[in-house]
Amino acid sequence: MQSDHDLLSRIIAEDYLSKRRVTKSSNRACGCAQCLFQVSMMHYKPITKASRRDPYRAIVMPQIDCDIDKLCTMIRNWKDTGSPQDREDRQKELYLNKILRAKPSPLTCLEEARELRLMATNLHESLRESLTTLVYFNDVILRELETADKRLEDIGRMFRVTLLPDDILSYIFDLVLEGDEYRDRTALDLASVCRRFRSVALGTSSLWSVIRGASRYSAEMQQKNAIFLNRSRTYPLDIDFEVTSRKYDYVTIDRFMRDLTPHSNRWKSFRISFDGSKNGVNRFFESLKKLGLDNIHTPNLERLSIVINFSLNSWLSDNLLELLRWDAPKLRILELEDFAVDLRNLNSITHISLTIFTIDFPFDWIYGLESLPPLCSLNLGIRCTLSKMTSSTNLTLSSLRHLSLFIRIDSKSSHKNLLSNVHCPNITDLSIHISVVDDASHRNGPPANFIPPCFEYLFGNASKQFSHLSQLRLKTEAARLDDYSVFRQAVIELPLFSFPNLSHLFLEGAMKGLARSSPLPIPKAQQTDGAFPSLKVVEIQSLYSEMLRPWVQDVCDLLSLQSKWENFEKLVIRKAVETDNGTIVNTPTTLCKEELLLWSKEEN
Amino acid sequence: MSTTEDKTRKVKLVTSDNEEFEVDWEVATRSVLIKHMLEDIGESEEQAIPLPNVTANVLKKVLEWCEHHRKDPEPAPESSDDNRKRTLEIGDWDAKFIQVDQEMLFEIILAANYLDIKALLDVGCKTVANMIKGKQPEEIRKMFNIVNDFTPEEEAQIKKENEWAEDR
Repeated sequence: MQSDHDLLSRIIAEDYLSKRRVTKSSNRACGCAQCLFQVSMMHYKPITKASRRDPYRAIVMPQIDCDIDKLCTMIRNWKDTGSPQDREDRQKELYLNKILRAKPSPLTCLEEARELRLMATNLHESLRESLTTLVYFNDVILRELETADKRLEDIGRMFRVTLLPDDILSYIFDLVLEGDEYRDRTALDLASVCRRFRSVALGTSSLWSVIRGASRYSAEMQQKNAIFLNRSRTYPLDIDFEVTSRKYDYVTIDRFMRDLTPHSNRWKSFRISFDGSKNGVNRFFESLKKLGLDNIHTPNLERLSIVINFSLNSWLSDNLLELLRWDAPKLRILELEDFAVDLRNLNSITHISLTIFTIDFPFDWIYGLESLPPLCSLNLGIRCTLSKMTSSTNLTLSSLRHLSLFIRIDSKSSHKNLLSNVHCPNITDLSIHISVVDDASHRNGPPANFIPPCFEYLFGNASKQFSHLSQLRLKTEAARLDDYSVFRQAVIELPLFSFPNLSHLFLEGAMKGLARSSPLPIPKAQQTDGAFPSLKVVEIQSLYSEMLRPWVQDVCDLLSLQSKWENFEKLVIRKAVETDNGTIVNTPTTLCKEELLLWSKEEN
Repeated sequence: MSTTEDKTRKVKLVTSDNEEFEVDWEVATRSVLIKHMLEDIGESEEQAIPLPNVTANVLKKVLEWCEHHRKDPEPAPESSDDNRKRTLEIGDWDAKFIQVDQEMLFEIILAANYLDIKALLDVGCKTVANMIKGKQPEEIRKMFNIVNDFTPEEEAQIKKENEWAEDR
């Protein structure tokens, strides 16, 4: 039996080393641990190149192809009989009993003594070999267990993403592209992951709705646009054309516009940005005219943006105002940066965003806003000095509901003419963004000193101008992150008591330095003027929002004092946090009334 | 509109693995599916609602979300999908709630979809979208253990489509 055993082990080992299958030899295994282990090792299937090419097989196929039932039987027998053998192997059991019954007393028969010693030695060696075998087996099982864990995790992940229905996956894809500057690139990436992703991506028209062009309009870019135009089917298009080079010709514009003109009924937004020069701007519009594209019908165009991205030394030709005469009956949104268009025929405009960088901007153009009856939202970015604005005519925008002002504070700016002459009697939503770009330019004193006159121009007669105001956003941007003086001054000067219908207040700014030693007060002078607004929601956007605790507590006290605490709903704290993949995620924390009282009393 | 009687009422839910949950009416009716089923069966309090597509461990998690958001206002009627797409922002409680392994994340999405809980579905979908955002196809495959099952011909087609990006 022993010799057969050794012979079999040797055959198996040789076969194993030669990496040949041993179906025959495995059939001859006696069933002991050593044989079974060797057989199992023979059938061990490491991940091959073939299985790597077929990852499904590599993940779900077991790595050991051994007879588990035999192994279990062997282990059970061993436990029952104390010997690595099958239950039927009676001869071996007798052999074992003979050794176990041997008494350590002098033997009469030398032959018997030698036989016993030989048997005991063989058993000892056999056990030692078995131990080695079991240790190997233990290692293999541990490795298998590790693989099994990984396999379980992989299968869990693999099946879950494929189980999501098409409409959910499509919705997720839409979310992925939300706010993505390179959404066309991202759409192609999503369609390149696997067949399932591709099928869902190609079935989601919105992913392919951004069409880009540039003064360097290559054949590849044109081909990409053809794909996007096809895949977006009937979905409204967002078009972006960048004039990036001084050297471009009519052919480029012609090719781009000829691709798009057949789809002009789908144009939803059109953005043209210029990075070149003033001559480039003139040439672009002249090209449109020459090609007969200055007067096309765009029945569904809702948004038009024209952006000058370079510094204008002098204003563009006034003729430009008349160069773009697209028939756009549904145009609602106009976004302009250092550019102006003829407002006379744009009667459907409801929102205008105007950013001015150049002091040569024809400021009188702003007075043309009065001729737009449906205008309800105005976003005005003043990023230059207004020294050339001479008009002091009143501008009354009765239809305006939302006003957003970006004001850059510096010693040369004089916002008086603009801010004190704008009247928006029906405004409900006001946003003020005050920016201090560079401390060094403020030779006439600290930038916080410019806040009071600025607010005086704007809110001089606040109760008259802003009696309908329900939402107010105040954002300050200091040159240094730890400079809270501008924010502090702006909040102090904010005439909250003059906004009787204010319900939603949003504050954002540098708060790091604000501490209990210099708490933010609610001015007593204001408190005597009138009723504190019945605030419902206060939002604070800052990494150091806890610095506003005393101020929030004062607000709570005032609301209680004036019996308005009942109406208060919540405090929302927003912190922009960068995630592992570099994305900025804004995670708001909402505190209801009870939580707010606890929060405002916590120590910083 | 819920009545005071409704708010004190208990609802029994039975999962696919036969576990029974008894929850407040207000919590259970965050699910539009359950709400409609309750309307169908009327006042019968004893009748348990079978949820054959949800297991106990997933329902437990979903009910945790419903419990936290039990006082939230009812979502506005769906005029268009645009309302759901505006932002990838997730509230801090929801962000912590959804910090689960991928298997549970997808189970929650599927359950929210089946139970018709739009706000929870949004939280799940935004979480997956944030995971995908900014990643290359190979990184997406690695993250979700997706097999690249394109044929060589399809690979060539995709490469051709992407030539534009290489040209930039």
